[in-house]
Amino acid sequence: MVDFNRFTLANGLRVLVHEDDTTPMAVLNILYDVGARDEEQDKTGFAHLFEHLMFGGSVNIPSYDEPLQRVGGENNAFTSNDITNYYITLPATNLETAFWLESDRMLSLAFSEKSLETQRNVVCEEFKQRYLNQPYGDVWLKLRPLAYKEHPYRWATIGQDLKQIEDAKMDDVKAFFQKHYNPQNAIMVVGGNVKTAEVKALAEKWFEPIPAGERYLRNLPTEPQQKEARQETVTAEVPLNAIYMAFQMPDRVDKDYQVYDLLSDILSQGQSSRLYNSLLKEQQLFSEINAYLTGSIDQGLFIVEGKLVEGVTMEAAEAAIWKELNAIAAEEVTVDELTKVKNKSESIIVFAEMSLLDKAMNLAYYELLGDANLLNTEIHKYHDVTSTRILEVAQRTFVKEQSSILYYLTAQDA
Amino acid sequence: MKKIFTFAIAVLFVQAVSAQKPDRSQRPKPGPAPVIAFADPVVYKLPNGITVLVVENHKLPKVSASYSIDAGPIAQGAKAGVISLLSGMLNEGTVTKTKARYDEAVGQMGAEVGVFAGGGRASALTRYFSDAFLLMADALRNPSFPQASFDKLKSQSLTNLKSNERSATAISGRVVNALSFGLNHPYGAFETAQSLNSITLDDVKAAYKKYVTPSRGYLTFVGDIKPEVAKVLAIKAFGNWKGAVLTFPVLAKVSNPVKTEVDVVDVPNAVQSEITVTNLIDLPMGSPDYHAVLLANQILGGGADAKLFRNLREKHGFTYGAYATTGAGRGQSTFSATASVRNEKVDSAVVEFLKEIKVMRTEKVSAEVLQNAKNLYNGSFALGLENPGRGAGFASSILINNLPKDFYRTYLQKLNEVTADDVLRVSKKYFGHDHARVVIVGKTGQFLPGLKKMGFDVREFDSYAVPLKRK
Repeated sequence: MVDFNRFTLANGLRVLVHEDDTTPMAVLNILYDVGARDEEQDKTGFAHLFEHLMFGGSVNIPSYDEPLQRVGGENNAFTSNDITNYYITLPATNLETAFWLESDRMLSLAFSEKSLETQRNVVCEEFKQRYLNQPYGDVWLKLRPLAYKEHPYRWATIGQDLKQIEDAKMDDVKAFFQKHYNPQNAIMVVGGNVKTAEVKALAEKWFEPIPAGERYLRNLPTEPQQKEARQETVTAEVPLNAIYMAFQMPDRVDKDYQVYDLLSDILSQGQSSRLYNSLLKEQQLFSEINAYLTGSIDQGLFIVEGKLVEGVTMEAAEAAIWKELNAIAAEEVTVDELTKVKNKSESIIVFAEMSLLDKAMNLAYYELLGDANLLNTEIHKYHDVTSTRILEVAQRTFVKEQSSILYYLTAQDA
Repeated sequence: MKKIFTFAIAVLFVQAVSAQKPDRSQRPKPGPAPVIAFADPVVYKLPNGITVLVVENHKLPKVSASYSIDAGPIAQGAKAGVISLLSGMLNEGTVTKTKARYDEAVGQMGAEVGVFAGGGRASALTRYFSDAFLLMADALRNPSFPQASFDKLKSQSLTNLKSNERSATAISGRVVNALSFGLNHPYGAFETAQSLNSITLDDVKAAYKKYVTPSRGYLTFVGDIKPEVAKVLAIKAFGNWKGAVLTFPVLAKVSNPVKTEVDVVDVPNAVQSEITVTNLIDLPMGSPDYHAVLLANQILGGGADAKLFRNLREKHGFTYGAYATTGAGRGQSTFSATASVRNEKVDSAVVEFLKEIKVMRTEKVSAEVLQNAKNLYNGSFALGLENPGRGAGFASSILINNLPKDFYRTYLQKLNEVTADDVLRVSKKYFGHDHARVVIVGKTGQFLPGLKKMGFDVREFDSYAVPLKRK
């Protein structure tokens, strides 16, 4: 159970406070309600590039890292297709420094050409290091546009290609900031050895003077129901053939989200799961096999992916996966199977309450979904899943005409 | 009078404004250093030599246990890979449970249980913990070592090796250690198809007998458990376990290059090149230099505000990140500075690496830079204590490294006493600018001419650290 208090500033900034006096530390987490899904088609990778620029100095503070380090703090950030999240951990006695730093960059950035130039290069190197220089690193650059035709999830957070990042202009940067980085589009969570009254006073001092800005109204295209099977083959310098199967599924707040999650666990969570037992241990067709959800806020994907044992054909591998998917869509899972994955979900939720930072990030994320308290009620939704609901979901999901399948072949097998 | 009156108004006015408009040009005053508190574990020894440590923490309904065998570096020689195969085989079933039944039992509880040649780990919700813990002990004590599993794991290892054939990152990891320590040193040896093919199931069984044992073993419990309960469990699981007696190996010292050299490996398909600037060091944790080295490493390459990151990433945009790490421990360890760099900027990046190291060795860091590094350490030390297992980690580190009992209680105090002169002295001693090895794995065509032109002594190797003939 993660307790919290909640208030909203006059400019629309939502603030949550989690008091935990067992630590001398504090966390300040700010979630901006903007991700790669909010980018324009010809300017992809921008939300992430922008995250880098947020460390290039703000209007009154030339260096972000140095003053924070001086008070014993650490920070980082990440961008996803849905959100951009920034966080600071520091000794609670220095909490005000975090307010000073974060409020200044919400107020305005320095917008230096030099910083833009450098971060364009850095992001291009990140693109190479994480997507091009890793075996299978570009899978999602291929799979997304296969599975999504309308929704902006069709591009990856890093962007569609390096060229669009290289072409980013200062005017684009400023416009993006105006549109998305204002109090109305953010959720702040302060946690740790803090008191709500103290946080409220600091928030009013440092954040309330920031102009509210315009509320960004998201209006993204809905991904239409898929009606035809899609398949694509790519070859690359990779060690083993691999298969990626994507199925359409509903959004994050759908009542069946937890059913999908348990379905994926029954298929591949741990070494006693169905796909692992059948395809890896018994039939020895795969050296790795996994089923999971992309977990996106808008309509997501249910993914099954595997690396084939050398000598196994793609057709045989795919047929073996379908056989398991059809089996789980034909008959209810057993009581033991369901108990097992519910136990696992409970463990994961309990273990995730360990760290202050995790708690703060989760509160912000669930608040974005509609209510931070969803974090505390999530476990009940898992307990309420029945084998009948799993069967229904499997039947709706594992349909050939709603699948997007990527064959990823080693160059020598091409 | 009037004058004074106006002044008073002005003060009021200023205050009124400042309540709304904070002065953003001034950084808030830092507070006092956080108060550090951590619990010492309950420690006792089982008759067979296992040291048991228990940290009680009832905040969440979960318990974790780990078993760790302090065997030191293991020389695998021509059988390189036998220890990792042993690790795999320990998870392939026990004499009373097939792998399938074992995995099912773990899965059913939603627990995590894993074992390897150096020990094991079990964590679970409190209500399942004792069962999960006994499963871990069963895997360590009674492995069944089926031949079919061995054949499968061996073929997977061979596939993995092959799959990394052209990965610059994997090649770099292998070659850096091989060149630094030499092939005969436990840290320098690596798996090859030949070494893997030579390993038999009997080799694995022999390694098991020799290294998986209660001798030099540390068993740690952390979480929602009482020390009495932990003790009963420890005795039930391991009390009557017997095994080989381990002694910590003493290894011959390896020297650094007489003069800084550049060793390159060509990976024509590499999108980036892996640069490592490294040298061997001797730095026991109990050394009087230890805390100063931590700070020197932090200042050079500890993160986003350190010299390497600011230079190679933020100033030049050569890389996504550049860092330094300095090891410490009972045997030789390494200092190394690393980055994945654009192929065409490798020569410039090497120059910047060496320049920053040289600056550390020749110039005193400013009081401000030193203070920042100290503050960061104070913060991260406090943050690390959020993990209730940290106290147990400290206690076992004190035992293993033969440190004074108050090592971690005085850790921050000693760190805060380090001076700029200390940082300069240890940088000179441990960061080997003049006796370093620069290993670059990447697309040599794009940087070799540049490096040679700069006058570096460049040697070429294949991806298994075998020297190529000099042209």
